[in-house]
Amino acid sequence: MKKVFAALFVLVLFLGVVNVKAMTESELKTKMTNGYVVDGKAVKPSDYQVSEIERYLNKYEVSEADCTFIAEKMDEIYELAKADRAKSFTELSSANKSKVVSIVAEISSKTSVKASLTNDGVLTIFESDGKTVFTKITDKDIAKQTGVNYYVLAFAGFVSVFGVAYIAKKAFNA
Amino acid sequence: MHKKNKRNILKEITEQIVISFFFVSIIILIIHFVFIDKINNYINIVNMISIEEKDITYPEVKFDNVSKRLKDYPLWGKEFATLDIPSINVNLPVFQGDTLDIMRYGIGHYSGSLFPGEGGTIILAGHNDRGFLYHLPEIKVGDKITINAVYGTFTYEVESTRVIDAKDNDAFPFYKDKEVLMIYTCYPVNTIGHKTHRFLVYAKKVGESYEK
Repeated sequence: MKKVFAALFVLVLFLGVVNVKAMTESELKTKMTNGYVVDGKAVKPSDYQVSEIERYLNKYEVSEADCTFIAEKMDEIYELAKADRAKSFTELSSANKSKVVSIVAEISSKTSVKASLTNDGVLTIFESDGKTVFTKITDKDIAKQTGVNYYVLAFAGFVSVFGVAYIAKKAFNA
Repeated sequence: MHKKNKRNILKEITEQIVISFFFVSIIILIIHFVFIDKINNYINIVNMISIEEKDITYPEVKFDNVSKRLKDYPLWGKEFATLDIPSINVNLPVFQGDTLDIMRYGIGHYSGSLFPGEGGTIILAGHNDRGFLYHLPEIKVGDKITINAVYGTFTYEVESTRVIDAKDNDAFPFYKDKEVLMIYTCYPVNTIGHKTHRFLVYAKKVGESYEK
């Protein structure tokens, strides 16, 4: 009887530990949105980045096991960021950038969340097929480059002026 | 004597190249200033036709009237709406995502922002070429903007416009409780080089219908 109690006790303890560790989608989202602290200052994703996370979680169900794994990996990333006192991916050392890229690759290979990160900080999250892009998240500014440079026209203008001058000079000399 | 001939031939060739270059440049300038509107319109039409041939409808993108959210989302780089601003003669396809690649074909939707009808900030971006948002700085307060999405039609009215620094993220407040459409393009138009400013339009929602 004592042995049964002991076994039950161990089982309850084990389940307890598992329950403490298991993380739901909403807890994972909270962990992501809370970010981490560097030099006493919280580093958090922007409202727009949180909106991307929400959109993904609205579309795809991520299992507790996957959420738990991702949370563990996020802790590893946060530790790397804290070690470099980095407030964004671009502020990480090259070595730690590579480590974060590897961690994202590991998350992608071991969970249902398919993603990749480039060394210049573009996080691509894929649809469930692992190929089609769901979204691309960067630390860059919201406003993108939407201008026409007109370099070709400026060059064409310069060449035209130069050409006119050249032909005029030739005509004058003739 | 032989050397002199060689030098003359080289001189002739150089002159021919310079003159050809000159005429090519003149042609480029003429094409730009005379035909650019027609060329851009043609490119837009070809883009719209080619996109239509691929797949323009997304039956999975439906609007949930209870949660006020989309049930699914347009795929990255795919067209899901058209942007219509009659006052400045704009009628362009809207794509999910705002990378340079995507914006070659029309208007880009910043994926962190919400979608029309979801009751929050919607951010759209487009190039400032003729045929895209070249005339955006001419828009007036009170002008109407319509987004015809695959799940509904939404009408907005311009409330204000601003010229902002490209790095001013605070110019794009994230609303979840009021629907504000923000459309921007590089500013000023028609200048050479990298643009450090954006012309930004804020418009409030004044009408909606979901009967698609």
